[in-house]
Amino acid sequence: MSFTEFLRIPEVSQRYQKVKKYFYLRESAYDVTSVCQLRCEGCYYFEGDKYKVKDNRDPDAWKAFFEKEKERGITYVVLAGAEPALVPQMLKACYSVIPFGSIASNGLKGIDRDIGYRIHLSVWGDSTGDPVYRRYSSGRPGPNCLPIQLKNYKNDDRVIFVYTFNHENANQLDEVINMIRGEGHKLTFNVFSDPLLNSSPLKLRDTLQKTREKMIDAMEKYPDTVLYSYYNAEVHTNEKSLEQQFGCIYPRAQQAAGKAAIGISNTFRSYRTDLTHTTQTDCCVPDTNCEDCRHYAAGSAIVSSRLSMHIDSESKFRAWLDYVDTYLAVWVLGYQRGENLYKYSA
Amino acid sequence: MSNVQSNEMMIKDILWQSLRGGNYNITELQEQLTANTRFDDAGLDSLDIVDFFLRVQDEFEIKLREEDYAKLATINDVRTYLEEHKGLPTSQ
Repeated sequence: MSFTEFLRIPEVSQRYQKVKKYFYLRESAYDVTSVCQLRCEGCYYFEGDKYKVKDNRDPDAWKAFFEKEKERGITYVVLAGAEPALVPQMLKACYSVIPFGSIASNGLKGIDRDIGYRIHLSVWGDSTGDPVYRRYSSGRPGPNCLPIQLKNYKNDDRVIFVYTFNHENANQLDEVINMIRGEGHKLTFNVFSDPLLNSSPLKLRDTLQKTREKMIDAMEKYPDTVLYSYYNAEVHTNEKSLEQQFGCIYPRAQQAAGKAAIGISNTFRSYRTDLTHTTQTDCCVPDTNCEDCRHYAAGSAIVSSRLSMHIDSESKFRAWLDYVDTYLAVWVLGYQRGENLYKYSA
Repeated sequence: MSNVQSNEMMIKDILWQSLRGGNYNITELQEQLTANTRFDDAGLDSLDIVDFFLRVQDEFEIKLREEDYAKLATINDVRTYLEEHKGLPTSQ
């Protein structure tokens, strides 16, 4: 069967039309501050030298900057840093210009409810693991973040929790998921991706299969809580990195491979806190090792953009549709994910 | 109508099908997009362009190689590609 024949299958066509409405989203990433309360093991932000630049702290400058980004065609912002919640004025400046976006936060400080972006709250483990993997900047053990996050974001529909699987924390998911379900929140998964220069003990080595099984078990047990698909689990726990499976479409990787820029490679930029960027770091996770990159944000762009690699069979196309449907539910506030069209079999 | 014009019309029809359901004003695009307008300049999203290429593949029973996507930036590029690779008639 071919692409146009797949589109004659009612549920496939319906899902394709649903996700197609969002093809226009054009993203870029912005580090809005270099300050954070925590130092997380392997945090991509504090790798390399991007955190060493001088922060621009003028909200008017940021607002003017986002106006230019909008003119450049950017319709979706990913605000990160270090910790974006610490600079509410910058978030406000951005939201006043570009209405779609998300904020990556540790959740220790609440974000003003007027900011209508998706908020991704990072969780690294349960009450035993989280304080070990995430320390205060002084080096002492960090707080157990989840109870604080749940308190700060009670009944807040903007929030989605992002559980990062690492080499040793698959079994810590149960406590986390129970607490999140108890508050009626949603959860998705990330996979720890090793920094380029300083390999971390949290890098997944022989635990990819176990991680996949844990993801699938959680999806099946808690379908109302877990936003993930079988295909997400497959590609993010594959022995090969995302780049090795699909080829990376971010400018950093495209430039390194000497390829001509198309699609997101033309428009995506990763801005530092001084409002500069370089092609060498234009990537959603700069300073991460591409050969180990299984990051959820990277996958959202890489896998979604590879429509043409998913039309060899109906099941592949269904898997791709599930992936895009999941990515939209994770990143676009108010988007509702549908049933899986594809089921993984081991 | 010449073969070239006829090929161009067929290709444009496929493009309009691809853009249906997306975030476009198709009537406006139909007025503005010429055979030499770059898809990027017309504001077409890269995934919609891939959708278009996949429909072209099916319609003309030809495989467009992914490494050629970057070269196919306009309707004219696609038409020329099809004329060269699929043997579409080219007489005026």
